[in-house]
Amino acid sequence: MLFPSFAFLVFLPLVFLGYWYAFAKNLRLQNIFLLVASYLFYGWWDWRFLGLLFFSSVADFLIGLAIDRAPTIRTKRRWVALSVLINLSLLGTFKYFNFFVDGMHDLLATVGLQPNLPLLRILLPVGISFYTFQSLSYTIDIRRGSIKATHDPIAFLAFVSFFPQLVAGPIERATNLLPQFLTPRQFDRGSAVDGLRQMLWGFFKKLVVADTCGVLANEAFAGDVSATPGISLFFGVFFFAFQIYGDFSGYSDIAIGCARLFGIRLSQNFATPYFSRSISEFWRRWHISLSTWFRDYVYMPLGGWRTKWGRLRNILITFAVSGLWHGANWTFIVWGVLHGLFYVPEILRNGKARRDVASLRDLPSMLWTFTLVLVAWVFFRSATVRTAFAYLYYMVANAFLHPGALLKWLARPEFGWVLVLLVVEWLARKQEHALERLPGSVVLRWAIYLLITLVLLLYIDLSVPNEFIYFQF
Amino acid sequence: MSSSTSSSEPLRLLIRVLLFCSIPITILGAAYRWGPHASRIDYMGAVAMKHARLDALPSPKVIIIGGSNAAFGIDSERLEKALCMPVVNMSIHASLGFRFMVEEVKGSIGRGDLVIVALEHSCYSKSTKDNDLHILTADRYLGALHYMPWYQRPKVVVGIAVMRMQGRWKELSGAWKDDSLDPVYRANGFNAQGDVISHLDRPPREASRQQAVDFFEPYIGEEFDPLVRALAVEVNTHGGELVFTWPSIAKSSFRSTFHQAMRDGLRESGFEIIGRTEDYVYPDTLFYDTHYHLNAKGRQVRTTQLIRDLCASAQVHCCVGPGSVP
Repeated sequence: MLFPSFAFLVFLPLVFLGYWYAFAKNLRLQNIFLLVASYLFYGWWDWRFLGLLFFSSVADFLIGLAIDRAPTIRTKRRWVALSVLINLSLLGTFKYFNFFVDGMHDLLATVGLQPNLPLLRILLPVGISFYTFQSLSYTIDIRRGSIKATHDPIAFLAFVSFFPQLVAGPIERATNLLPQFLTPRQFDRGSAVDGLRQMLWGFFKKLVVADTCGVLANEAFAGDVSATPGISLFFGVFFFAFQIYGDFSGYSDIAIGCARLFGIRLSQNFATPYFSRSISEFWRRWHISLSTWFRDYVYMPLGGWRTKWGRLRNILITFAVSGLWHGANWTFIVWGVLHGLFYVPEILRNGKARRDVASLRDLPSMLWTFTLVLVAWVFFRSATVRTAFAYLYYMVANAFLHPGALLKWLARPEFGWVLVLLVVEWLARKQEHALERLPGSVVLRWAIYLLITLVLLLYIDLSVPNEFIYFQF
Repeated sequence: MSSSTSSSEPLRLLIRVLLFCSIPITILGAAYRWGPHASRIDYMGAVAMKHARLDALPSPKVIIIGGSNAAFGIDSERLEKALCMPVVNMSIHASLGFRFMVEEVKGSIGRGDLVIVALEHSCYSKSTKDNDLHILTADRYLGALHYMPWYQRPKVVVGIAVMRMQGRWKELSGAWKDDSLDPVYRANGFNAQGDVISHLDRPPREASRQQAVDFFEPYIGEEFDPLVRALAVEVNTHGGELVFTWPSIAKSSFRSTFHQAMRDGLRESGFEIIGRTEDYVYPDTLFYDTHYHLNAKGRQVRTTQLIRDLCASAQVHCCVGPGSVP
């Protein structure tokens, strides 16, 4: 089920009422209700993959118990290894099998062999990268002693499948989310209202910014780059940057806001990343739940952050793996490695991370960081590494081809929506989301809600399913 | 932010949200009532004209159902002469889905009617479709709601309101101009029988518009068999005949595996597709724009073949000999 869909418009109020009225008196029943609702939400897309979700959850629940009971560290490690094996096998089968077979085929072809290797013809289950990582972190955290294994299978299944964040995150840690399923939730009106506002802003980012920018980005990346003016190629990737930001952070806003309606607090996933003054800051603000996941479960265990060179090596490995997580394509790996390389000067300088928010004086460093991010987005968006290089080449080589195209791009309504997004988020950059603090007057607040709602209705494109980009990861 | 555990709080919030929603709902209601049509392109509006003919024609008659391959690529006037029965070509767009197509003719089948089905590949795999075409169709012909599943209807009505509101906005902002109207895809581009004829005297669309068919996995959806059987029961009850024929397709888009899957799927339901696959695969030059839409010449070639196959079939009575195809 998609957030911007008629089905969700009916589903959400019904689940909300059932959750707070029919089942509110009994925590276990409330969790069962949430579990059923979440499986319905997921199964709406394709019920056949519910078994996979159930299997992954049950496996990690049982392994969690086994780790808890294991008498020695060695046994605990073996159970964690099994959990890693199960989850990565699922990912490997459904997401990476064909990528590795292709790679093997190319490798053998270079030595003159033409093997007939089998390819899998299966759909990628939506959200598999998200829920396997969430489930996996649970078993690792039990082994580390950060959390005790739960004996409540319903609460655990509800934690893994919680519908707002099931298919595209935020990737929650058991330490944050699971305890919320084990204790009674209380309705907090203020929090729920704030959640609704966050959802509204999320829908704006998705339907007005991302979906409109996406059309222009798709045209730029699908066209003949050698004959396209450099400025148009630049705007192609510029609009892609806002498509993916609006799409993914919009989803996160809707998910976080939706969870708050059920008295559940999810982690912040985006914090105005395009106002970052360095690549390291960008990664503290972009897809926070994934970058902290990789920090805690890949970068830290690699153990080399104590020395400069060890840190460098581990940063590159972590970013490459992070790239691979996004998809079974070399373009994603190059995208990850590029971000790792952009990190290098900061490691060599040994600079301290800035925790304050940006001001206008930081504009040069923000623009520089944004430029680096754009270069990397070219690889992320391109079909192959070769076409990405061609895109970047012609962006420079055709820089003076039809320079007048600049005005055409600046006059586009999509650019106007990007400006609206940037201005609003700049003003609200100290807040968790843009509509967190609004004027006290009810009339003024409702006028703002109405304005955004009308813009949404005017811009929603009913000819496409309004899917989110990160569903494919 | 205040915290509350009062049991009425969630309901009060929901009521407040609904109160707020009543404002955009009122605006949408006004757009539905007074707004312009959802789209300037009124191609789907031809459904109304087709239904008027379907309801008016006496039986026995010929009813053609299918997607745009049958709308663009059959000359119903020649078919009328060959079968000595009036024809109504209900075909308009494959994306309406086979279920919609079956539902819209089911109640109108009369004694001795011949139903010819020419489905595109996508109709075999997914019979119930869910897209904006249903909105555009119901926007022009509200009766079309009856041919959609009940659960799609509210969404389609809301969709009409949203698209009419967007239409009003486009009118006000000047985004809609008369020259954006397509000369082919319009409701008055059909003849009395329901065939698209607006493309016949036009040159093929530029190469970029020659779209190859985007195939997915060849499979028959779960809904297909019950729908075919339901249609067959309806036709048999009235002593009519149900005949399946191949869709027209451009050679460069032809995939034998898909045709095989279509044939196998129908055989499992107890039906045969008349004629040979290869007789309905034509050179790309015989297509107007997409690889399903035949041009004037292609339409004649396909109609001739269809008449030959119908007359050679034991199910159909032709009033001309196989050698004298009109």
